[in-house]
Amino acid sequence: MAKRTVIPFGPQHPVLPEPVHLDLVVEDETVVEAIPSIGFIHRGLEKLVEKRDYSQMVYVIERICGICSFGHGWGAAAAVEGAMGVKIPERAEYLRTILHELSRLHSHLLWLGLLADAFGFESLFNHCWRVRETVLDILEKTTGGRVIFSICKVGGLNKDIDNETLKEIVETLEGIKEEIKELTDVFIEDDSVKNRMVGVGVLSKEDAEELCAVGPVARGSGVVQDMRLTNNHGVYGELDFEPVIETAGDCYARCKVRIGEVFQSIELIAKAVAKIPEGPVSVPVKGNVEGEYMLRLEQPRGEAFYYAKGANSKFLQRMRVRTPTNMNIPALVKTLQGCDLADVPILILTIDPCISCTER
Amino acid sequence: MSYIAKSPWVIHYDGSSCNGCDIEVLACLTPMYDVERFGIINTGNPKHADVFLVTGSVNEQNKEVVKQIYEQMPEPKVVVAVGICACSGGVFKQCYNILGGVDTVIPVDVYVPGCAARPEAIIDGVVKGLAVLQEKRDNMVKGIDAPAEEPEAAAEEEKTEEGGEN
Amino acid sequence: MKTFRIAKVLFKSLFKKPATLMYPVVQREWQERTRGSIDLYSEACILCGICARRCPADAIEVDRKAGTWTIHRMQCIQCGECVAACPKKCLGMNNQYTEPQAEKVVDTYEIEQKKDETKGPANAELTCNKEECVFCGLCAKVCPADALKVDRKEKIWEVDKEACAKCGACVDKCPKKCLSMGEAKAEAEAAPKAEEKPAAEGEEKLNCNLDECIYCGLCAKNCPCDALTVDRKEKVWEVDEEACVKCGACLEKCPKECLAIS
Repeated sequence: MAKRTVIPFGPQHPVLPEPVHLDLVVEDETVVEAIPSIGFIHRGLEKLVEKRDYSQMVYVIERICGICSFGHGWGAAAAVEGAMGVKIPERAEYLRTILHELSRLHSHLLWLGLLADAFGFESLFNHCWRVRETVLDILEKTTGGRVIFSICKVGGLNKDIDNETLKEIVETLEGIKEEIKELTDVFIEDDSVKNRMVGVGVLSKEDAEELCAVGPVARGSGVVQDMRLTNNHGVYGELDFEPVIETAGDCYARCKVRIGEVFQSIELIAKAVAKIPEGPVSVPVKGNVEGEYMLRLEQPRGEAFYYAKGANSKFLQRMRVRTPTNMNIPALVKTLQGCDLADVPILILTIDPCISCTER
Repeated sequence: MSYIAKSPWVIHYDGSSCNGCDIEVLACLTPMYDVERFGIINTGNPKHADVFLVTGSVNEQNKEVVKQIYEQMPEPKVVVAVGICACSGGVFKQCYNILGGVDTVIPVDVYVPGCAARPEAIIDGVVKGLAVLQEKRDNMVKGIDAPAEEPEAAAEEEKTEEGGEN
Repeated sequence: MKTFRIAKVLFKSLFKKPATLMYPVVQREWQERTRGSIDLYSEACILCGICARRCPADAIEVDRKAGTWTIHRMQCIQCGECVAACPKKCLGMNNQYTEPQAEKVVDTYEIEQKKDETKGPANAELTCNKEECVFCGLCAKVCPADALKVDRKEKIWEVDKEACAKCGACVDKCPKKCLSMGEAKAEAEAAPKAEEKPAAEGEEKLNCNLDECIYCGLCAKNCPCDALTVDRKEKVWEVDEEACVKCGACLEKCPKECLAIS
């Protein structure tokens, strides 16, 4: 038997923009066990409900994560709206859906870039991020922020986006579709990329179900699971779409799922813009929160869970968020067992880790 | 920009930020903003770095990590706190696990505000930091140690103040 | 075998204009909605402190006694909550972010305190002339600080003196003009009579001259109690007698002057 060595990985590591620590137990070059330790970004913001009232909490929850911030803001606002029994205008639902898909687009393009960076393909990384800037410009024009939007509030949206701007957005996205296609073709067809990903880190369908994987990780293993289909948030029910499913379960499959979702998001935005009704974008909300509400929402990284409970006060009694990366860590640990040490960064990246989401 | 004598290398560490500032720091390195035209490279090794970019506030667990990275950097060095969390704790200031801004642990030379800090602001901040770096380097050449000590003393004072508040 | 698939992209970008913005040599143009920093138009500010209370990051401090409005620039998260909450609309969002600095920037504005009779002095108190009051609840609806409590059935009008910011939003909105921002003593005299008058008003009734009515729905829109139902298609105008407080807000808005309280 080869000698076992423990290699510490992180929290400060070149491929990781965020701190996560893994103790990798290796035999020769093969990882036999991975022990994650987290807590480097724990802030304890759920406890802030005691000091911030429900409308301020939306801004706090939004800052759980800078990449999927719109989804978090939406989840927090929708959970409070549900507990208060507020019905938001239809136009607001449509706009929230459009903004959420835009942030999915920017998140996946960001991820594609980081993946390219992880296997050392610098120029592909730079091109992915160049295309992503177009999406960020749209977001800045409509919401005022590049990554943190502060547009969602309890009762709807802070600002309206007029129909002309929406049409422009669809045209711009159609314009960059060709560019994205060229880049994603590199991921799908290039041998140097395929060699690093095909057959690496296979997660079987059974394992994915047993370990409660969510989002693209589960869909890459053939599990049909997409919270947008449950139709409890946004107007996804009226947009008529099929989730992107791959069955191989390796890094390549997970990459293909996300590439499929990039184009799906562009399509969904176009469909939503074609159907959007006129009307107000917010309703005034006053008074205290009484009762509780639970909501599951599909983030770029998978299913997120929001729970709000009020006890007839402006301050919530409990605000709970469960984020997708949290659920994908067991699947990550499973796939790390038996992989090559050199594949560790790619494996970590293919679950699209968002440590600040996980630790809050 | 003539005062950049050589290309300054940057190390980035995410304290407990929300990712917003981190991806903006990364965005600075990509074609749209491209700080590499000033010779700035993001390095993973503290021993190669001149500028320490910290995003996010400091908490109990990463306090030691931040200190360690700072100590591993060779003199002269500059610390740039990116985003309001790194400046003062920001929206999370009252969270139980947050100690406050980065200045509670290490001396900070430039504060970059914004939530999230815009790439333009980060570039401005790093350029300001480089001026400080040049000053420190000049002082080192002349053999004056004093400026390196001063900010530390100031940070100590602030630390006690902040501690009193909490 | 497919290798070097990126060649197409690379080749194209050789002949394209660089994507780089060339910042800081070329200045960035901001979008209209870009959130940069908070502006204060100090002439209108009444130091009500609602912005400081609404701020999720505790970046704003308002000192009424010293007459100062302070913002910690390195603490502000530019969410725009204060801009939306300001009853005087004296806060705005500037596109330009605060310059990075070597120390934490704190901006303090001196606010000149006005000695306005109705909405001014710092020691003023919000009072309601309960003889006139119809307990419509409109004041409570517009109150940015949620300091007012109105119960129509129990005929209660209460102000939470701690929470009230004396912004005057309710005074402007009151359909009966029974609210005032005067000295504290006025209230004691008005209170005892509050019981009688509203009972007498029960006789009155809101009527609409349906011959002239164009069913525009403006009355229903402006009703503080949602007592009116107007349907243009069906030509229906209805008043819920229970809910109507005869405040007269609809009378003022009616473009055809076909409404009357008699």
